[in-house]
Amino acid sequence: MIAKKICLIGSFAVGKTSLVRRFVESIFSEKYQTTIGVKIDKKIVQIPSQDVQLMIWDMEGRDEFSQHRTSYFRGAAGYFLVIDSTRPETLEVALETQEELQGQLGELPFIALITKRDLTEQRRLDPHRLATMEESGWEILETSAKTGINVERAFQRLAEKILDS
Amino acid sequence: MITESIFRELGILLIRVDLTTDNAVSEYHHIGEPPSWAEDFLPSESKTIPLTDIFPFIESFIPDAIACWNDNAAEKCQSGVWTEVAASSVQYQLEAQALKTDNQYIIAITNLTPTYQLRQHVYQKAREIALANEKLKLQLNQRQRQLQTLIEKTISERQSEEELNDVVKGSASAVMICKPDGGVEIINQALMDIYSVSHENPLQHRSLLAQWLKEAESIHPEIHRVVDSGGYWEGEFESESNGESKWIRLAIGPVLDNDGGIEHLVCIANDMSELRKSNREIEKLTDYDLTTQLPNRRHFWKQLTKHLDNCIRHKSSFALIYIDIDQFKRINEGLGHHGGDFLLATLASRLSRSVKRDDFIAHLGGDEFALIINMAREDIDLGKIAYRLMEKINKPTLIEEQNVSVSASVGIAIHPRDGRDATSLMKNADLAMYHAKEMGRNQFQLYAPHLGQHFMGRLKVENLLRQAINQGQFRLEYQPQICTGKNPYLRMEALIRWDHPEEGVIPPGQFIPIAEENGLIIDIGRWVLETACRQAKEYADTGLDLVMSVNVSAFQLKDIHFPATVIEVLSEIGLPAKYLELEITETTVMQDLDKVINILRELKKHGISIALDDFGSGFSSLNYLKNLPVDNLKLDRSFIHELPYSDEGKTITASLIKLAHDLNMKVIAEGVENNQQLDLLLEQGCDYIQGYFFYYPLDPQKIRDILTMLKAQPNYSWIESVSTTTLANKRQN
Ligand SMILES: Nc1nc2c(ncn2[C@@H]2O[C@H](COP(=O)(O)OP(=O)(O)OP(=O)(O)O)[C@@H](O)[C@H]2O)c(=O)[nH]1
Ligand SMILES: [Mg+2]
Repeated sequence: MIAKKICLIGSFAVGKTSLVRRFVESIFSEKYQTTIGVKIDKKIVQIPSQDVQLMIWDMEGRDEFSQHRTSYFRGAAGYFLVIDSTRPETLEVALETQEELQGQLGELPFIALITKRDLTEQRRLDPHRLATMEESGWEILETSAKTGINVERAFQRLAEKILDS
Repeated sequence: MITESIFRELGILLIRVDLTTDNAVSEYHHIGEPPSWAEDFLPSESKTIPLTDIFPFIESFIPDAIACWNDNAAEKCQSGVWTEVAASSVQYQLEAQALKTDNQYIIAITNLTPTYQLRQHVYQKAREIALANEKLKLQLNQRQRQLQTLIEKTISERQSEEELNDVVKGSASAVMICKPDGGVEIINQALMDIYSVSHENPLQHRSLLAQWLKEAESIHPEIHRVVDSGGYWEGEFESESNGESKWIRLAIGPVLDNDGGIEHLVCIANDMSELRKSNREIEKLTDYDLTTQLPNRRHFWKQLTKHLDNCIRHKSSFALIYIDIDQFKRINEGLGHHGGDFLLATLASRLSRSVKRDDFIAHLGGDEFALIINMAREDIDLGKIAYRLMEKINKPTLIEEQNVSVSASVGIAIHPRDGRDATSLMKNADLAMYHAKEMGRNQFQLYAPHLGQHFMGRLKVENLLRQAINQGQFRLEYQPQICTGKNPYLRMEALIRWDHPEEGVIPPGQFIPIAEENGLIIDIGRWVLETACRQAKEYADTGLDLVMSVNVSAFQLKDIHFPATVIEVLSEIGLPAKYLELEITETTVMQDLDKVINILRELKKHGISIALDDFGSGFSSLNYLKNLPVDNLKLDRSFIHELPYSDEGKTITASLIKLAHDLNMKVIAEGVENNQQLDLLLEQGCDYIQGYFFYYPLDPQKIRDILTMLKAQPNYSWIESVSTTTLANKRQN
């Protein structure tokens, strides 16, 4: 079976760890436990052609003071750009990160995940901006680690994209 | 091997890596007995382990490790923390480091789990607060925009003022509607609360808009342009309210008339001070500085005492290195707080990457860093280490498209040689650092006992200074500035003298800089001003005309109340303002040009004249001179000193004098000591001469004699009294 490294990248507290926990352990917690450094989890996804062992690198969120080390991305086959639907600033962080990563890693498959979809009342993202991103070719999925919606699908899609590329 | 057992004791797993000739990993072996935590990961039977299978994280670190081994790429030697789940499902926080000893390539894996909780806690708190801040800001922002739109609508639909008043008064946000020139139309209670003003006189807020624009300007230079052009502006800045500093979030939006002109400005403010404070609070809760993520002063102190205990027990030695960034305050003001913080964080990360793992680095706060360097061997070259640190600091940092270069002064004290306890070590490292600064910055200094004498001198001066005012140890002397033309009055500069009962005469050069540093200059300055004015009043009362020139330090001028203080002194003493001149130095002016100009204007408005001291010593650009409300320029004595032998000096004085005259200023030459200098200055049209050639600084009685003489001979000319060839020649032509 082939193994692929994928990374979850985005601002702090956008829900990266929650996505991984939902996907790997099928649990969700309201309590915020910030990640320091990196944690690696593994899970096999089945896509029509074959099984893929995903090595999921959940990374410390980006904030003012913590910059990712380039070494963390080494060997990645694809990544999620994680954006919090309730915090417009996290979209800006994602856009910045994407620009940097592209310079660093070249064109790798990625998917933008708009998280916390269950919090519809608090949604604060500008739909026009999302539309523009989609027009420019971004694949965007709206997820909720709380309800589980689109979580499985996201990992599945990224694995497919990686194998297609 | 002893060392191996030490590593085991420290919980460090050592792995030897064999590289093939083309730099690929061929094999891993762990060395010695693995620490107990590692047994959770390692297969028990074999010593050859596929390390990247056990720790997948290592795979991404290997290229860095190889760069570290082969190219000494120090910044790549550490992997960063990662979390690994063992077979037992226990989670471990680990960090790898690449090392090279005896040509063996080693990866050392440290178990950080025991201290991880602490570390995590810091980040957790910081991010939770950042999150709360972000949410709150978002809400405020939204509320602000809603209110803005509502008010704009009410105004543009020409609804009654009453309705508008209701909208504004009912708002929980602080609102002011004003004319583009700042004239207040409506202001609500919430705003008055922020600025603690009473209801009766809300119109005293006429200047509020101007105040905001000025305050915001330093971090948001675009504010004037945006507001003036009828744009919408919002941002945060520090604002002063009754002497208290607040952090304000402000939005300014225009209401336009039909022709697109600005009719009103709608300003909505929110006091964010509490929010900001909470950020600072958590820094206090923790052992880390949040700007740089380095251990803070408290943490450093703990570590230092621990280190001392250890060293005393093992009879070993360590060095304390104290780093202070040169002129950081100025840089910080130039960059704004964000830029300053970014710079500090960058320096911190560079510094921490350049020290060994068992050394310790802390950010003591502000622009101070400290390091504890183990001196396992006697021959460790501290100079080299200091030099390396300074190099790291000197490297330019890109901040907002601008390359910023800074330097640092470094002081070093060694335990036990330079101090056996934490306090004296710190004191001596600080003293050495101070010495490095005095020697011209961007250098390091090892502590030596003789540095202490200088320090003692300083401290002593400082202590003595405090008594000097109360015990009346100061007095003034007055040095005449004689007029080269015919003039009925005498100008003089008041000069401070300090006669200490035991120490004798202490020259101003030795105590004024210290007084400026510790703020005593304010009291001293006030004493000088009062004494000189009182003296001038005494002379004036006997019908003797004069101008008394008094030196003012940068420190005094920074006080916005300074003009008021001067006026108060004058009126208390009853001295008409025209008798007083204030002397300020060029460097003082340049420190804060706009502010100083305002203060000078204020003083001049009352009839006080201004002289610019040391002119020509500081800045090459003369452009700013045009805007300075200055009556007299004092040529720096270094120019005069060169006369008449230096052609360059001659040209400079000639052009400075001409420039001053073009700007309607008079020129005073300082330090004139001989006939040739005088001749030349006269030829160049200099207006006043001060120096030993005419008079030493004199006591009040001698001045009185001169004034009496002048009164008796209203047409007296000093120039004629000394026979000068120039003048004689001139008269012949
Ligand atoms: N309602 C809701 N809350 C979520 C969702 N996903 C995450 N959260 C909450 O958001 C907070 C942050 O989640 P994390 O998964 O720890 O975020 P992270 O991106 O890993 O954060 P860092 O490790 O600090 O970068 C937690 O309080 C979660 O409970 C979601 O889909 N819905
Ligand atoms: Mg996380």
